[in-house]
Amino acid sequence: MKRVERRPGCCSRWAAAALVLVLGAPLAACGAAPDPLDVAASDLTSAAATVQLALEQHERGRLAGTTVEVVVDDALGTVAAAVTSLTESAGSPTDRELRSSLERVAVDLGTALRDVGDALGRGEATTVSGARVTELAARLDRLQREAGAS
Amino acid sequence: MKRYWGVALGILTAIGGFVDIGDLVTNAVVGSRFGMSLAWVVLVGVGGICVFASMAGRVTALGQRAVFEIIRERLGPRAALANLIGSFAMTFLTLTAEIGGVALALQLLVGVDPLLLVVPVAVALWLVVWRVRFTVMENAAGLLGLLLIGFVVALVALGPDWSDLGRQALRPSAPEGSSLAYAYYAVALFGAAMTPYEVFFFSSGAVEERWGARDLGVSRLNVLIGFPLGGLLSLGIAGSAAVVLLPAGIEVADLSQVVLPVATALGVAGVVVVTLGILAATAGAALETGLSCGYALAQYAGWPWGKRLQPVQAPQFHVTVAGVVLAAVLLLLTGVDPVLVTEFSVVFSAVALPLTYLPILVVANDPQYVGEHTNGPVLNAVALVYLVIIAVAAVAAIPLLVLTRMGA
Repeated sequence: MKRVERRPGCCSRWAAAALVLVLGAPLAACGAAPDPLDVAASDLTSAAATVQLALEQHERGRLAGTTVEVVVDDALGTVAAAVTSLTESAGSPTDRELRSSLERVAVDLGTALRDVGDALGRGEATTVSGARVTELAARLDRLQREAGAS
Repeated sequence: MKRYWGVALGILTAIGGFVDIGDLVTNAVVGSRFGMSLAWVVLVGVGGICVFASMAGRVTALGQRAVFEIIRERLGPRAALANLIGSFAMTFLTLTAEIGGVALALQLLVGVDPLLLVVPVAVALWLVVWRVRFTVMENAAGLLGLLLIGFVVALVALGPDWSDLGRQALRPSAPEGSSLAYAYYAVALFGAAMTPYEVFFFSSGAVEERWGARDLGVSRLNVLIGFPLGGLLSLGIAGSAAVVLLPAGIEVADLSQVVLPVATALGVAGVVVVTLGILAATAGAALETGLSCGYALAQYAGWPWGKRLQPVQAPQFHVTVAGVVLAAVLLLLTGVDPVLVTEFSVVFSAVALPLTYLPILVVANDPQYVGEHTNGPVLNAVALVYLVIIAVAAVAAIPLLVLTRMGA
């Protein structure tokens, strides 16, 4: 087969424009910071619900303890990130009240999750700490609705 | 008989090799947030990758040159360099996400911190690239990836309201106040289904396996049967998340959440099966992306390339592959979240897609490359429709990413 000659023209300009888009993308992404209050409320609710579901399945013998420990670790990471985000966020007086409530529940949730992790690590029942997670999940659900409405 | 087995094997590996970390994460995120209302994007994406891969396979089989050799020849070195930088960066980002995905899947099985697993995983991948034959590597990863069918089995076992799922899929609509996030995830899902490295690997693999004109039919069957069935696995992941996670208010942010619907439906055994499937899918894709970085650079630079060549015969190619794996490990060791890397990689895949799609579309219509096997009018019409879709997705990706604050 013959080698085909280069055909310069619009392709060069097209490729250059595409390159600008590709390389500009990470820069644009750096400026994309989610709204901390909404996201924190949603992340905390999701983390609590995840651990709740994992513990339910574990109690039914459908999920191994090792996997639940990973789920709890991941949820703890989410809680830590949410607490950092809440601490760093500013907002209106109403927002600040909501933020304080969220911070308190987040700290309680972190403690409850560590208790769950410890119980799993020792091979003990997670009934008490699991119930605490369920209770906090319900409170977070209410706070998330408030965050959404604010 | 041997020929039929070869066809079946090709189709099975295409199914098992279709899903990677981008598909896994994005489909689970989308299912947990929007139910099945973005299923249409998976179908559009599967159609697109079928068109793209079938053109690339034909161009390669007939011209015996892979994608980047053709791009350089067609666009010239300067424009092709711009193309190479964009595509290489994207493929490297995907490689990082895949290695992170392997570590996360192993963590689910053995409970060890994924940061401790990244280095052994990378060494194992490099050993496979160095020592294992191309066909064995491709078939093993593809066949084990079929274990992801556990998500489809789980969805069926969950006994969902099929008419409700069907309604969500057939009457897609964004939840109130989330139309931009819906559009953002549509682009991400499209990027996940049409990742550019799949075509680099597919076309370079065709050269590695010495495809010729007589293999065109088999190549077409692999693509046209294997990829759509692979898309079913994606829909299974989204569907199981839609049935279990969405009603529970769980939005997927970690890989450990992706397997919870399977635990609910199939128990521990199901979780082990799909986790092994995730392991195979991500490891296979890590191998493909690592090799694709080497393929792209070596093909552009005119170096000898190919896994079939010993390191002494293709030193730059092998050094590039080892180098990108090492760089990905270093990036992961900074503690960056592999799931976040995945989310970035699928969106930027959509941005980078036109870089390779357009040149392949042009060459697939050029008799100097493909002789009498140029695109027919129907394929050209479909390919042009996809060109428009790809262009829209590429242009919309970054504004949507900024406006929605990464889909928040």
